[in-house]
Amino acid sequence: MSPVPMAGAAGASRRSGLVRCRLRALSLLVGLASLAACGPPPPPVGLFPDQRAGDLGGLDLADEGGAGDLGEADAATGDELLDPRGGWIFWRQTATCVNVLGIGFELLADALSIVELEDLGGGLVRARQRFCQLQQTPVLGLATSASPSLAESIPVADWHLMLAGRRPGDPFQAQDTLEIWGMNLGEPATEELPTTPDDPRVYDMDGDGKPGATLVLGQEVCELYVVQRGFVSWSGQIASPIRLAGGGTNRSTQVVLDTTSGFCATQYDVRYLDDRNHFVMLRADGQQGAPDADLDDDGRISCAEARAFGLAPFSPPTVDDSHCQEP
Amino acid sequence: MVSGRHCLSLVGALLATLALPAGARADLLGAFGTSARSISQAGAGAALAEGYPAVTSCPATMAFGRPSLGVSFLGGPNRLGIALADRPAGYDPPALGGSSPVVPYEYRLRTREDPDDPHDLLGFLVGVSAEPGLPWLRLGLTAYVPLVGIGKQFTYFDDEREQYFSNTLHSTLYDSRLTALQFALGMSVRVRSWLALGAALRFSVNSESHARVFLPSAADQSVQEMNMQVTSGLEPGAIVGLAIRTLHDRLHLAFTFRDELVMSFEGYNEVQIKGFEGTAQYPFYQPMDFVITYSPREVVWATSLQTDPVDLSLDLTWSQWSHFRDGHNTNQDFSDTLGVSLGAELRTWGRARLLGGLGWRPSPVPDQTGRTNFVDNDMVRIGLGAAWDVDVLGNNLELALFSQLHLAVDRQTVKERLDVHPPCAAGVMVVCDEVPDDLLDPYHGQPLATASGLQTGNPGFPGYSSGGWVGIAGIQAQWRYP
Repeated sequence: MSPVPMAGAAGASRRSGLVRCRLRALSLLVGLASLAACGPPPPPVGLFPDQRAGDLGGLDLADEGGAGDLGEADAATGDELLDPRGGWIFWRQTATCVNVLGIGFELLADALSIVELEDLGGGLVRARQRFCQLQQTPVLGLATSASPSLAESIPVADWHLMLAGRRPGDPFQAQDTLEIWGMNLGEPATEELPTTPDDPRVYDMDGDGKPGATLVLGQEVCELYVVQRGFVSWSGQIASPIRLAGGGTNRSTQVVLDTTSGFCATQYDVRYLDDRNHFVMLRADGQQGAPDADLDDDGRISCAEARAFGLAPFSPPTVDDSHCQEP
Repeated sequence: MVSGRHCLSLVGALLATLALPAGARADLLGAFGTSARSISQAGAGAALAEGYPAVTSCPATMAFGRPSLGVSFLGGPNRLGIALADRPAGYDPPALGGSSPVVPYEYRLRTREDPDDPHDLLGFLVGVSAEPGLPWLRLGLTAYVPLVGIGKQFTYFDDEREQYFSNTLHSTLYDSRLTALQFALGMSVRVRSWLALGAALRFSVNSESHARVFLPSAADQSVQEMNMQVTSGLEPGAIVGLAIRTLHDRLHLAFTFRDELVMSFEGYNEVQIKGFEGTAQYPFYQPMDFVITYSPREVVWATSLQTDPVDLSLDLTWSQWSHFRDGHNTNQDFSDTLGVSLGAELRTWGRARLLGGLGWRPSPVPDQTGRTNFVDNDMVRIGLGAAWDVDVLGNNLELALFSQLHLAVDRQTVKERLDVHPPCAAGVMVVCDEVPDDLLDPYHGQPLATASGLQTGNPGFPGYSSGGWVGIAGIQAQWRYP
């Protein structure tokens, strides 16, 4: 063999290698260029199946009625006349609008109390009321709460009901009442309220060592020590022999004597929503087909039993901020 | 011996660098490399570095080479992406009126959707090194100045809290870190003909904010009077190195330690609200404690063997990611990593060289099957480049083209499903229930149906995938002078 063909073969081999090398480089470039379209892989399918409210138990509020519904406890209707004597549970809900940042939020304040009624004849009924539970709905996630001991320390109130009849649909009028928290006033309706905790008229109503009555904001964000005077007026109709229902007003003046934090000292504009107030008294001593809240059968309803009875039998409405928003 | 002009350029560059605005972070150079040579070799070649590129790679090697002055322009797309899995029905935090423990899901300001692509990369790298009259001493500095995304200071929550903010996920380690200004200065001493020591400082900018706020009305907090008081300072992070050349200068060894570097933003708002006067909350304070970027402590062991016609390099990088702090300065359970880069430099035609490399950067982020949503992928690093040496007025001018691609290994994250998900609270690491099952209807005293089971707005629920790529390419001119 001559060296020329050998050189040619070697050159061909080198050219062939060069071509392969270029092809590899080209394929690498094409491969890299194809990455320009690359993104993340498709997202995975999670391990969580669809979930439907109610599948796992619990109360579905959508099935619940409002305060206007007659609950199962009100099934006792007909021609029976009202015999008010006995133990009742009184639920009162007053509604206000709280203005924050120019936006109105509805605030519902619920009070649950025990009322012993005594028929004095002639349509006059004497009531002895003892508070058991106070609660408010939150505004912007913060609610002011009162302990059961505060509720139970509110002085027992005696007042009267005037019945215009004893049949369902007959109206009645409750005597206007004063509710005084944390102070002794010589002239309860008119006297100027104390403004400092060292005012001698102020006393530790709930027995927690703090002046006046103690309210707690949120999850113990801060405490307020207050005195309060409320004027309550209400009237209604006999809904059934075991239920009195109506509306009214609750005008309260509250003075914050002291706080543990400035967050509790903030004042907001408040507007009353009297049309949204509810006053309902439900017989709860088991008489006349009424529910029986006297769990220990000692012949009287205690506050603990009233709290266990709860608000559900009254089917209270829930917050609806649309009532507080300007049209 | 350094000339007066060189000294002037060094001081000028130093002053110019110190005058740059806030945003100094130290990670683009760490992620890709400090020069055309290291970028082209997928991050390898720290033992071969000379001149200013050595300041951050291994300052000790600066003493072996000639002083240099250079500039690089670089840019590239960042196509790392995240795809969120569809949310199953029935897991949204419901509207329960005032009883809602969290804001109902329908009120999120931003719809949960895949995040936008991160910033592309564009910037320039400048550096200078000099011999200040002593042949065994070198001084140098280097700075990367981004032209896109400079000054970006974003933080995110890594769990369900982010639903109230961006309501999506973000790349944990490859987002704003790559668009940050960074600079470093250092020195090197050649102790023996075969041994050099070096030290450098890289800097981050730490800011402190003391904003003062007065609200004339607590009932209308949209009206506020406010003064801003922000001060910034430099926080140094040390780099020390040791370099050895042996086997007739054919074997180069370099050991580098880089301390961690944190860019932080801390302080507080002092708030006065009319009506609070006379109480302990007048004023009250809202503390801030952010970590904008975090660069881990690193140890690099670099080896290069010079043969004819190929120089081979192997760099191992240990990164202490277990000390990682997230955007709200909370330590997260990341893993320390060991990355590896292999590089080759082939002398081809005349004074031209071809460079290439391959590397592996493992992700420090563990599987995110629980409450947190850190996003990161293992990365394959591919480098490619070329360089030419040209004589100019008796000095050497190196022109180089460089590129590097980080290919993310696809990763899918699926949140773990439990029989019962605990309520969200500090210390809970699994997907947590934002509406606890024992929440009672305040009127009826009974559990709520809409509260039963799991309710979460965690943007990473029920899973997500991440992948894609990020690349840079550029050109460098480096003048080596005697």
